[in-house]
Amino acid sequence: MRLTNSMMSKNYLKNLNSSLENLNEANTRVTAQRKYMKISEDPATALKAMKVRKNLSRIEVYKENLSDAQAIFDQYESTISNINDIATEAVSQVLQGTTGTSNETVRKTVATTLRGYQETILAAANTKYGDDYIFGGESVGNTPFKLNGTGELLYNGQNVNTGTFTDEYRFVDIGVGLTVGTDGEIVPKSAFNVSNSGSTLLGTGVDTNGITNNLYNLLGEIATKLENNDIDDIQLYSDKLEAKADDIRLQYVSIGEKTNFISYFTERLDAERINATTKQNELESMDIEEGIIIFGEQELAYNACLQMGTKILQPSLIDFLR
Amino acid sequence: MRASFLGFEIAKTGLQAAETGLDVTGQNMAKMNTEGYSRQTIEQTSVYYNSTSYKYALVNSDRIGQGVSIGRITQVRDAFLDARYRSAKSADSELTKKLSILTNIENIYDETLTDGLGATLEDFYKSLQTLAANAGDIEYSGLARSNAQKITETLNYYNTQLETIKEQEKFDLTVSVNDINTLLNKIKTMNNTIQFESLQGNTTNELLDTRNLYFDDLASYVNITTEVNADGTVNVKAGTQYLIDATNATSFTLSLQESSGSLQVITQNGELEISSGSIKGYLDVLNGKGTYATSGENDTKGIKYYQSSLDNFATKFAELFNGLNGTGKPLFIGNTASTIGISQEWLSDANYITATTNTVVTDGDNDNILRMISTLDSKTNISDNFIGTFDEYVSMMMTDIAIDVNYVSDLNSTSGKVLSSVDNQREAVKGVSLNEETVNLLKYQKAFEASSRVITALDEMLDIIINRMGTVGR
Repeated sequence: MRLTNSMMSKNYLKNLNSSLENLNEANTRVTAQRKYMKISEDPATALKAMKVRKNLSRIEVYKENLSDAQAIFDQYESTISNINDIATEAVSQVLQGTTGTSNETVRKTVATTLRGYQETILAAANTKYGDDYIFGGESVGNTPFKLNGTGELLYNGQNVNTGTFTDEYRFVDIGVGLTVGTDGEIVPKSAFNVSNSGSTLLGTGVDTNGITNNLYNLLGEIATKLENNDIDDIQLYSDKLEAKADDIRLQYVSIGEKTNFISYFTERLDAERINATTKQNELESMDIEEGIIIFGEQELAYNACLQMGTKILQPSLIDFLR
Repeated sequence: MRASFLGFEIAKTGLQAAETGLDVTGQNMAKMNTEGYSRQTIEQTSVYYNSTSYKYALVNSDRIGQGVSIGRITQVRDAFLDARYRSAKSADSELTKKLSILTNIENIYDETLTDGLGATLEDFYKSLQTLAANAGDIEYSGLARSNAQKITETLNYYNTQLETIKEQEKFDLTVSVNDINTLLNKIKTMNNTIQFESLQGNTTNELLDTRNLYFDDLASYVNITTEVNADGTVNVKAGTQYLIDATNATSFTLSLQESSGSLQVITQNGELEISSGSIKGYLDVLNGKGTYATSGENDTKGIKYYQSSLDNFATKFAELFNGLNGTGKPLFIGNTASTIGISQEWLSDANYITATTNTVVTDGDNDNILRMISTLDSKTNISDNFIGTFDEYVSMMMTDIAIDVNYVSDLNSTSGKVLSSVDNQREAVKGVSLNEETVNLLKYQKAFEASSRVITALDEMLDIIINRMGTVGR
């Protein structure tokens, strides 16, 4: 092919320019420490990276939700531990008050103590975490336990002895595939229930002997009996109280299951996060050594190109004629 | 018998040819960097003796030729390479234009280094999660509302950006159409001048160069073909339609018209068939409806496609969330990317977002918020050919434009290489080589010296005959 000077200078300029472009690109990538600056540079990788980004963001959300739940259960645990202590203490107090040797004065004292426990239990059952009543079940904004005018205990507005209570749910999404059932309700298995029902905590209804299942009311009834020195069937009540104390203990112990679940899940999310971060690095981040080597290569090429310029563009036959 | 002064005549033509040769070499060297210049050469032919100029046939006398005659001064140019160059230039300009507009669009969507629709959607999702844990708290409802507002504002912003690009490119297209008309006028004038000068018998090399430059320029706008007429004029066609019909002395003017929402370039003969060139790039991106095109419409993924996909997002998003919030309780108003916004009711009361569908509402009930979260996480039929989550839809829009840019950019780098290779081939034919011209310089200089020497020799010979012959005994 016939070569002309303008061809050479044109091509030289083009090559010089593209070499400078490469140098600039290598420089940008090293500075930003990214493999690509725009999705269009590598759509397939960028699409994967977008998924990973979303994953990471979701993991943060789920971790946040779990840590909120953990905080609620921590509060729950310390409160129920108090109630457990009181229940245990109450059992021994009642035992003391109902032995044959105890007299009316002792019984009255025990009764006063039991009334005091009632107050403490009521206060504990109305514990708040932040702005929320932790034993409010589904309703966390209103004081769950209240006494009506005649001194009857109400839970969310219903008498605990006579009302009907159902399971209560307040879900948070912890990333196990939150789904809405065909009935429009959240499928319980697809989320984590953080509600703690006060009705379950203290008990509701009355048993076949007509004795209340509610710890607060039970203590009240026993106290009344002791005050009135009416201890013929007190055994029934103290058995009931023991059973109730066992129930509270059981509830106390079983918190472990829930908190275990939370920490297991948090650990799993942590592991997922590490995986996702590694993946994100793989997809998006530039290996710095590799980047610098590429930059070095481009720099060398650019320099060589510049040096060649002085040699290519100058001479022609004219330069060699006298 | 040989004519006494025949040799002088021959040497004179040699001197003249050498001089002209030097002039042409000088011209080539002077214009070696002039854009569009094609190198010129002189056509030298031998002068042969011609018996009709003599009364009798010449016998055995001067059977040699009688020097050199300077024919025309022609330019070295290959019409085939010109045509190839122009078609390559049209293809390259189309892709360059497309790439530049698409890159502008990509800059709106790309969230590699900045936050856009995808990020605001994720923020909204997160604020719903927080709201679910704190249902009924006005500050968290407010947070969800302001994040929802970010989504609607981002949609508005994207749409405005797309509109701005559309308006700018439309304006540029108008300018380009005017440029074409100007070029066509210039070519028409040049046609006339060349025709006139050719009739006078003048060389038209420089005029041809200028006209060829106009053709090259025109080719960057629109695919053209040329037909050379005998009188030196050229007809210009785009597709099957004439832009300049020199044979019938008619020419056409291009103008832009909008017909049923699509831009068209038309001449007096109707819509122009444009198959490449930057005009094609403009039209594709401005008219392209992608998968939203009905038959007969432009199905390139252009601005209209991206606007429609945003509208789909806005429509579906507003529809779903308004539905979830309860009948007659809209969270969003408007159903296109340009009109969507937060409803007045939600703006005046953050807790307008329905946290629960329970009849007795208490603080902490969050079932409806969870339904919203679940909706964001579940697959929805967002457009006719897309079933997936909203964030997948945003990813799709983002990768749609990115893949397009990637594809067009690859094509453009190929077309650029083709163009530069054809340009090199053309330059190899028409360009000025300094080495070659230097050799020519020496060649004509030596030729001039040689012819001068011949004259000296002849002069000396005549000197012998005139001054020294027959002087015996003087």
